Amino acid sequence: MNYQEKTILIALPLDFIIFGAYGIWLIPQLSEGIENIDYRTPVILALVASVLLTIISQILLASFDHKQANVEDVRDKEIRRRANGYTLAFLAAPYLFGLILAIAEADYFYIVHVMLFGGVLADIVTSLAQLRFYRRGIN
Amino acid sequence: MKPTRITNEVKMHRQLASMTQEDLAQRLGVTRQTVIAIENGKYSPTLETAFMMASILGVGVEDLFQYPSEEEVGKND
Repeated sequence: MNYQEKTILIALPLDFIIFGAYGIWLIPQLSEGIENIDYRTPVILALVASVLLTIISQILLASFDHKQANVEDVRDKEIRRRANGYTLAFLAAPYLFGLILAIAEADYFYIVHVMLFGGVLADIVTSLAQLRFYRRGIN
Repeated sequence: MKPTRITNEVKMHRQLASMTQEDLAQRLGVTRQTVIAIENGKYSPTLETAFMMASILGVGVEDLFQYPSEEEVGKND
């Protein structure tokens, strides 16, 4: 397994854990009405935690596997380029939906969560696509 | 995944040149995993990598990589 594949395998569960935890915190409160949910601080905390834990995990991986750290060859670049196609496809839908919600003057709660979970989904799909390309090959 | 008709003899020529996957990877400037993926037919290298590989192994690109014609594919099916 090469270094780039390891970085994906570490980052992917972090997305599930952090945003899964946010979802578990959020869902029971929906029945009480969105106007009573103070989601701003938890959203910011989840985003900051995601960035910080990803950086920390990458530093730890680089320290354990320093010979391969940050090595990216032509195959890695090709896999990243192809997977980025999925990112754009999966980001376009929440972006447009968020735009429509903003034009319709929907509550910020909906706009924030469409953008947030759209971004997380795009990140997860991109990571899964990269893992699939590493395992199944690209031709 | 789009199937490829490209086949290769990289492993054979590498062994004939008494090189390890790591040696070849270092000379090509790629990771050993990329050499493994090429040998297993899971990655078709760029034209530049293919020419570099042929040059390092002292053979022609057509000795390393083959692309069977429609007729050859039909015969095998």
